Amino acid sequence: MSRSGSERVTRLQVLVTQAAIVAALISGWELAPNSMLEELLWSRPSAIFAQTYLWLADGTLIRHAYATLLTVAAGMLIGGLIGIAVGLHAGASRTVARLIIGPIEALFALPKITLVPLFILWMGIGAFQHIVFTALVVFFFFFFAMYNGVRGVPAALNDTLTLAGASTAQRIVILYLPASFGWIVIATRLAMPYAFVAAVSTEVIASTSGLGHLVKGSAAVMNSAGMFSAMLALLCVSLTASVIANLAAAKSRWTL
Amino acid sequence: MSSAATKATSGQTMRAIASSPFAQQSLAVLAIVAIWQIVSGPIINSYYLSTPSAVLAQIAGWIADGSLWPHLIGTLLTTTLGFGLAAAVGIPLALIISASPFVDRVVSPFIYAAYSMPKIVLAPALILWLGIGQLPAITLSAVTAFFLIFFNFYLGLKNVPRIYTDTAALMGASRLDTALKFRLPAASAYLATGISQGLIYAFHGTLVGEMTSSNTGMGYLILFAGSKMDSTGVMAGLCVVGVLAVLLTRLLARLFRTRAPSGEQLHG
Amino acid sequence: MAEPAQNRDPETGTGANRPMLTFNGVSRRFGDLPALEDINLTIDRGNFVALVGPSGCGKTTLLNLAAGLAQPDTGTVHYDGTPLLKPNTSAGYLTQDDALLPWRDVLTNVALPLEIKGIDKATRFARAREIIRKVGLASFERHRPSELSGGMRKRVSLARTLIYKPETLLLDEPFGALDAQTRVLMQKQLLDLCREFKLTVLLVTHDIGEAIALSNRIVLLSARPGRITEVLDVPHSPDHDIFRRGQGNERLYSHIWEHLVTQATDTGSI
Repeated sequence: MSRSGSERVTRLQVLVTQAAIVAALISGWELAPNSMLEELLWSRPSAIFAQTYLWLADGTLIRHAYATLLTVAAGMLIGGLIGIAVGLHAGASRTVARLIIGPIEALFALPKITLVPLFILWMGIGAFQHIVFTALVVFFFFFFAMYNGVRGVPAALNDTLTLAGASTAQRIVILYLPASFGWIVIATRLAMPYAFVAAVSTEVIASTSGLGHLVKGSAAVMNSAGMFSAMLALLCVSLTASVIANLAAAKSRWTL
Repeated sequence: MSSAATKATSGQTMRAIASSPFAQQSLAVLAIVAIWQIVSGPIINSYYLSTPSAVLAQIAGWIADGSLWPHLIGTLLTTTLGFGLAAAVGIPLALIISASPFVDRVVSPFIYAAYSMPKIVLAPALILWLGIGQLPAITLSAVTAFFLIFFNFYLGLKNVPRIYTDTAALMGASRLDTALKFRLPAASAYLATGISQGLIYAFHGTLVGEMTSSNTGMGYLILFAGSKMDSTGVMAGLCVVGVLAVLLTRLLARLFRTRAPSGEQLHG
Repeated sequence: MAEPAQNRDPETGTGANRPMLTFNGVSRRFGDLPALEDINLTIDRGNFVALVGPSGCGKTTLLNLAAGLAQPDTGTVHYDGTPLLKPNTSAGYLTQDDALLPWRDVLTNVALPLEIKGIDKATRFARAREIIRKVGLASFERHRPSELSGGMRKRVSLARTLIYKPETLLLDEPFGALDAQTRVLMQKQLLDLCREFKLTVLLVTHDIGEAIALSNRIVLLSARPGRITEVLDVPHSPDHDIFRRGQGNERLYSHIWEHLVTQATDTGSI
């Protein structure tokens, strides 16, 4: 069996095959004969395209995409800052670590989505609740990043600062934060998709805005074209955000 | 000198026990429950948090009148079915795709793209196509778990160290033999991780499905209580789910000897 | 051969020199494992004392006690007459690992102790430059540790340790990771700086030749649990040259070598 044949596959061949697959799927979808009911359930690419165009024109997609993005951004920021602060404390102090690691790991194991009804009970279904929930999901990433970053500092470095008489504040600024920078970058890249899932989850369960809400609302009125349109928008937005997060992470190369 | 030594060691033993991780964690849990009981009512309106005593009573009530079991069993069954489906599709797919570089390059971008879509967004569509019930939940569970099983195994198969494949080539092994005797064992650790994470995310996916598109299951129970503003019911449901989650992770950790999660996992 | 340290009065030491560091009946264990037992040792001001013993005999523990980074389980440690209860900021500590901040360059690394003490930028950079020049790294101020060789990183560590002019230097096998030639050069550099700054030094080492070349007193430790078996004076001739080995100290060398072999075989590690 010759192996060299498969290795001389070019990028062009791959792209052509992929384009062919996409074209086949779309045309199959478009041209399938459907009864009226099936039309409502499955829609077709042309209808989706039309709906997307409509919604772009009247700003619906922009409005809801913005709501979702706002939740994600605010959640990342707040969850990140709190996660870093708490992780710093836990990394630096063994007693603090022992006290809170248990509850934190227990909370981490709980499927966070089950907390949404409780959050709705407390905070309603508005943007505030969405942001708080997203922040909670994001918190864990930055907590563990900071915790591991601080604990990963070699004992020799810590001793050096102790013997030089460093205060806690100095130790944080001079040692812990720079040492954890790489971990934080990784955490940001990892947390981004999770933040999206969290934001969209709260929107699907109960909301008045956001792309998740748009998907749910469209399905509720059997507007499957709208449903797919919103899904597509969501896919684009989350992919873009992930790509940006990855690029930023790669740019901020941190060498030890 | 000796009495000082024995005093020193008994004091050290006391300190050792008091500062053991188990003791400190148990103390922390007890402290939280105690604070919860004290705070809820006089300080924080029990509407928000209910009380440990009320929650315990609710759980006991559910068990007594048998209303807990359908939901609990529903969740467990859906998790198992979803996981089984995901494994049945994910494992062969990983084998097929990783075996052919061409298929890999063509197909994997699609899978990565599908992965970046929050699965919960499928729920309204699933309701539209499958109606309300456990079917959408099983589907969501399967889809969520699929990616974890697939990616872990796929990456494990792709990243077989060259030393193994080179050894196989030098021995003149056929494609099948190479796959079965070298690649598969080398990737088995990744498969184990995939199965372990897949089960956890099948559980997550089940709850997501139940909360958005079902009328039974623990997820539905919590959502239903929430819709009635019944904080006791919500907390009770959360406690049961929490216990399930901890049991699941502990069981898997013991089976697969993995450490507690440290924040680096694929998302759902 | 000096009289055993146990018989020496720890309060007054010998003669005019006030002791810098005193261990009285010190012992330390880690859980069930005893690391050090019944350590009685006096180190006089200006002395260069080497600690030699088999692996795992608690040498590093002893150094950590001297630095105040740990407290003994029994007994007391005195530094310059007062009990040592917190980290010793008058002592410089040089370990086998570099302990340099990887994201800072040589200049800011060396200036770190002064930065922590709150000294202004201009002053601390000036003093850093001075000591960097002294260890021969003047043209490498802006380099990162990852861009330097092992010996150069060791010199940066040394510079950082000396910048705030400590009275005592604690060294934990500092040159173990260096190649033989670099090691000898570093030893010479160390000795010169110790003489210039009139430091009291406690050096932990495996290298008998290094101990003999640098120190004027050698403390032999037993295998775990570490106890002091002997304290030896090292006679140096007036024209003592560190670069020439085996200058009349062959008997001392084999005596110490025998001690190490005995300790190792007794504990079954050979």
